[in-house]
Amino acid sequence: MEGKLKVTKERYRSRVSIIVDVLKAVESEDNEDQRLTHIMSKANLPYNRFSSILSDLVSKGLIAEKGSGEKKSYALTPKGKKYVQEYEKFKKLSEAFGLNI
Amino acid sequence: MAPNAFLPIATFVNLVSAVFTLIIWYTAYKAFRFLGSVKMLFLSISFLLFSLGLFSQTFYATAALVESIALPRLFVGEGYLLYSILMLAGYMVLAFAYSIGEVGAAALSVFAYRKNPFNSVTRLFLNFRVFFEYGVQVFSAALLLYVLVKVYEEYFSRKASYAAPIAVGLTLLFIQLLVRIFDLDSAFDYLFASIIQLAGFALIFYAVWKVNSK
Repeated sequence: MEGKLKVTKERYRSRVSIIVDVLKAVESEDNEDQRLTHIMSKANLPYNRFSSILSDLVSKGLIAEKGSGEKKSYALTPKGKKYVQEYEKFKKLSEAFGLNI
Repeated sequence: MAPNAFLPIATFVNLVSAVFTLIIWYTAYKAFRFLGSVKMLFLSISFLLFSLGLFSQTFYATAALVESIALPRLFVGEGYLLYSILMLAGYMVLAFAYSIGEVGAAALSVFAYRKNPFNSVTRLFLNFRVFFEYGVQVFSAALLLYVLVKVYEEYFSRKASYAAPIAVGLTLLFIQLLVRIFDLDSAFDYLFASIIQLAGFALIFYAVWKVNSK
């Protein structure tokens, strides 16, 4: 109905989907490296949680860190891109079976 | 064609179904390892059980062919019982994957006992083993019906890509269970049910393969 707030069933994000949200936030449409605050707002995470996930992804080689200090920027590595693709593939599989993950 | 001539074809059809379900199990297991989703774990376990059931039935049917065991004995033998129980376990795990986080009451209502309207089946009740196998098949059908309801609900609300072949595939599995429940007393019926089952698993396999190959 028009003017009525549509209530949807919001679910908690799993750790994998949070990781993918961070990776997608890093993956820029214009292929430019992303700044920390920009990624954080896109990933919709509090700073503490975000920084621990980010450092984890950098150490695992999914995100590449460039520069230092305030000029520090981030870019998705080929390994990170592959991870996002795999996630999309398996998510599509679970949706095809009608299973919400 | 002699009635028993259908049996080797049905055995081959079951073998192909077993291979399809094994590949589906592996893909679903990979998805579970990646996503860490318990639902995907149950999905993979159910297809592993289907695969084991189909391989066991292939093995026992081949042994029956070699030993020239009469058809009625094949349907009430240990092999068919093992197949039925493994398939039931598969449907139970599959239903569980869809019931996680849902109210169990709705699912339980599906399991209600319904009288068999076909008089031809009642004579089978004289044999306890046949009765047990019949019960296993009915229970499997009830579980699959629950899964079907959930799958179609999701399909009509989301229209996810490749959900249609999976929904149709599961519907075919349900139909083959009905064939087994109401009309499994000849080699042709056995072949007919096996072909419908293969078509069902083939459709699910097609969807899984298409998603996985992207």
